[in-house]
Amino acid sequence: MSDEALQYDVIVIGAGHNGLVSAGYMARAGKKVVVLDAAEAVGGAARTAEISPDYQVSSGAHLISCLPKQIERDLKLSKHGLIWATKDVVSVALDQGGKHIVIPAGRKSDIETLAAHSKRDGETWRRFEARIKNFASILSPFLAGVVPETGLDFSGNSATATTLRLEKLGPEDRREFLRFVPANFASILDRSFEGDLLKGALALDATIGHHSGPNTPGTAFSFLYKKALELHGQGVGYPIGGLGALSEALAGSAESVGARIRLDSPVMEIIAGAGRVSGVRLADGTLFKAPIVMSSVDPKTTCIDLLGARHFETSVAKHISGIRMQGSAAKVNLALEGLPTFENFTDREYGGRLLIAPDMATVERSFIAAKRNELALDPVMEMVIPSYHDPRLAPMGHHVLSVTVPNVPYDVEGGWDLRREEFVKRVIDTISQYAPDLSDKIIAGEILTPPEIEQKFGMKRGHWHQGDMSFDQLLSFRPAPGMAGYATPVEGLFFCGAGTHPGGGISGLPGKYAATAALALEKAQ
Amino acid sequence: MERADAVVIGAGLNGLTAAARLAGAGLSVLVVERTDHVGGGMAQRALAPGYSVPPIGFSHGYVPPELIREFDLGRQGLQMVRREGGVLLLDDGSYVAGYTDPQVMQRELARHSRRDADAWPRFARDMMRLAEQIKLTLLKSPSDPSTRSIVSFRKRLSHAKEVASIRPEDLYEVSRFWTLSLNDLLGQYFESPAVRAFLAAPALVGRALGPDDPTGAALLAPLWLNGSEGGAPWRMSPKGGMAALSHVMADIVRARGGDIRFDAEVTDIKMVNKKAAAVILADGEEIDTSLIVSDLDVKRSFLSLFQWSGLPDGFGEDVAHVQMEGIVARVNFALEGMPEFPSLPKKLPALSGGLSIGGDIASMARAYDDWRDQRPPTYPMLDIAIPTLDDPSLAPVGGHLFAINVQYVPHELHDGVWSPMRRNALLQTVKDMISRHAPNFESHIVEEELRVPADIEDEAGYTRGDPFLGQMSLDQMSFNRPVPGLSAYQSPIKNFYLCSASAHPGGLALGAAGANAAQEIIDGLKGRRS
Repeated sequence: MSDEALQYDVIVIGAGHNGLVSAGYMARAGKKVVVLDAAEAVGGAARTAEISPDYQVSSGAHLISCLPKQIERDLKLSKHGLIWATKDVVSVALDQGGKHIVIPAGRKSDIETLAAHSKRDGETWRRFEARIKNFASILSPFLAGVVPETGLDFSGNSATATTLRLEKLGPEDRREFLRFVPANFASILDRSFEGDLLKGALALDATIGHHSGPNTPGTAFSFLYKKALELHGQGVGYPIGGLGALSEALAGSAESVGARIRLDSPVMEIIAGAGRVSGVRLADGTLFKAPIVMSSVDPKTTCIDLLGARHFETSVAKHISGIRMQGSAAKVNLALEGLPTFENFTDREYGGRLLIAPDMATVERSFIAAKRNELALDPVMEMVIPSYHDPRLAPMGHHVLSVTVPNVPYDVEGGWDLRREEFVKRVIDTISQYAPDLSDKIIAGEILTPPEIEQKFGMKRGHWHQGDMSFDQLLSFRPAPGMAGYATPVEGLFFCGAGTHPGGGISGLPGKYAATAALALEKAQ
Repeated sequence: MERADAVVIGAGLNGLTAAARLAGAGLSVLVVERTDHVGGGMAQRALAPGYSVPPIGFSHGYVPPELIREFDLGRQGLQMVRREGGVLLLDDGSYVAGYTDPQVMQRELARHSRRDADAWPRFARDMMRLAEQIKLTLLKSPSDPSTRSIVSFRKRLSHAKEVASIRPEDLYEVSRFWTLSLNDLLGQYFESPAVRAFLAAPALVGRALGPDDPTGAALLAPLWLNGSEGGAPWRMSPKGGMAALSHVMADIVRARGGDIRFDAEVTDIKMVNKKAAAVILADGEEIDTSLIVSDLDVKRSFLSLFQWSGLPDGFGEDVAHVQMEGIVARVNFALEGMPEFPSLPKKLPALSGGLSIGGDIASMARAYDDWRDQRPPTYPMLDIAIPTLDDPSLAPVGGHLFAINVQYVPHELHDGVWSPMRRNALLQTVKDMISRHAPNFESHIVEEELRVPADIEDEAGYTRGDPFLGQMSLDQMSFNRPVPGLSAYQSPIKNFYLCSASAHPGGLALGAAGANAAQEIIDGLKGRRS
């Protein structure tokens, strides 16, 4: 194959959802795009695979809550196979005695159920929810676009607009907002609610995927940020065919406008000279040339491993090398002979997002265990039975159970070979406390430890967000101060993955904003 | 029936400072104190004959120079003594010592890392700059962002515009001191784990935070309030111990016509026409007044002690949810002779600033996790003051005192209380940790005592034994301290004010809360809005 055949306008490194989104937008803008991925399938962690013949599950991420309708429309995803199995998944805090709590999302009946657990919590819920929504809407505009060069003046968000929004909050809520931002979520929850179960579930919500516990400062902000990002989405749900269907639709969409996707193509080096990027080189030596390279691989790997620290000013290289990527999770996927029996479950609960987090202390303890590279005695987790709304994932009457277990150390004491069985047993034992017949129904299962997630999905240290989403690594500071505009000091090189604004969460927004930035920069030249 | 213009509940330093300012403004002031001494938790006691242990809490602090001047504390007999920078002893016997002299400090750091020695001046400069910024906020009531006036909106808008125009690099440079963890911030200057541990240890004492928790970086600057000549920050303590500060302030109260009554416990507040109108003592005596100023912590003031009626909805709950943590235990050892620390030089002036033992930052992080899990610490952080090094009169000839703040001791344990067995185990843990570095330590012990946070709560009256009367986390400082909407010192009860460290600025400056509360009262009386 001659060199000309490998000349493109844009190279996208990584066929995860963000890379594919970037590819889709760039191709639609008339660019000749190639997407290169080391894996044998597209999607990164948004992939569907078999646990066992005829049993399929989203191997990694299993829910979508932040995907904007705009991206779906722009990239014509429904035409390319994206059909939602549901966009209405409720979150359920599981109770061992069967008295589960559906986290009310504005529904009166759910608030009444909450009140049956605790009158006080039922009364406070509305105010809490309204407050969170107000606060999230202060934050949400900051996630709505590319971060311009200077300070906090995000697109469409002048300081005036933000101040006015804060003004509209009213004096009490404004003060509360300022208290909220640096606070630990446990203190906020303790102030608002008395029920352990409700607090445990919300605490899990705030901390899942992050390296923190409910008592860690900044977790109230994490919760807000998540809610703010969700305001851009369309509800909580998953596609028919699992998350892989999203990735396939993104891939199909990009290919339909001429983008090429090459799998089994690990990029080893980004080639640059004289401050300009010129292409990439694969592991097998194949050279691809392009004036624009968009990397959806995490910024640290992109800059230090693929490009080389020498291309950056010392202070920038130092900052990027220091990006914190702690916090990993494990995945347990089970093929089941039938629905496990959860007491008092109706349709809604079986189709819901099931949270095991009996109280805040258990969530905190799982974080403490992770810090010690240990397995939690009582793991907390988030589960989905996607076959409930998408029966084709399993044979008739059978099901698949998808379990995300946060706060699982990358380097567990003793090593994963030694501990994986113990871990799976603990997870199953824990779920069995809520569904005692679970074990009887298990036909097959798989576990993905953080190192395996890293290996399989190309996610460094198994980190979901390509960089902790803490104050100093968000907004204008993500992935580094002054580099939040997707462009890098190396001309033509862009970040387009979760390691850039607005961070992780299967929104596709980093991919979209990066494409916008790259096209705008080109136009300006 | 007795009457005073103002009654101050509690003769702690803040209460006395408030009393002194009020008396100076011409009010007749009565301070009522439950115990037989001033200083609250800051009272000196005898542990064994001839041994006078320092009070619980910190052995050093920052007294704003404005207050020193206002009350002429120097002439009243207060001498603030500057201490050297303290020593951190690591598990392997190596140590880091702090020196106020910048050149000696850099030489000491160079023993551990040349790069760290070179980084020191920049660190010291950044800390000093932050400390100066903090100082500007200490002696005024924090402004409340919830006010509705056009003036304040315009101020907020211009402030927002200012922030929005800052370059991200510059914004990061400023904000990192508030957002990063202690460990990460220190890591931006220093590579040596020993140096980082040395700087982290004193910042963590009394704090319910681990070295890896976000916002922990903000714990550093307060240590620099007393200033520095470029080396380690000065630690200032009153000659004669912290109690001396309270004694001097008590003298000033009396000199200004105020009265201090001991063994006078306030058991209730009498309300007349929905206003606080009198205090009722344990013996039934009533003292009429038009102003009650409480030096008790916010929970004691509003929840546990008095039978309030008419607290606004939600206020009681807000108070109940103020984060107050039991985290420090106190161990005191009366010693015969000074134990030998073979790994330390024979003469180490830095020891007058204290001795920290507790491993490195990873150990501190684990100790924090244990505390979070409500477990008795297996390897807590020891913040050891040896006051006899500078003031031999605190012990008999040749004797010494180790006054230890044991950091990360839970108020209650996950499976029970601090039983005698558990207390002994903790005491032994402390002894073992010291003996590791001073092998004959136990043979020097004449007398010993342990106070877990619950004991401190009982003795000093600090809810949960929280040394700051409310954690000084960012969500509980400034206009949110002690609770939002309380406007720092006023309370929902007319004529009842709070002047303790539960209010702004917490434990950052000695006497400041009391001074500010009094000022707000005086301004209010004069009809001026603060």
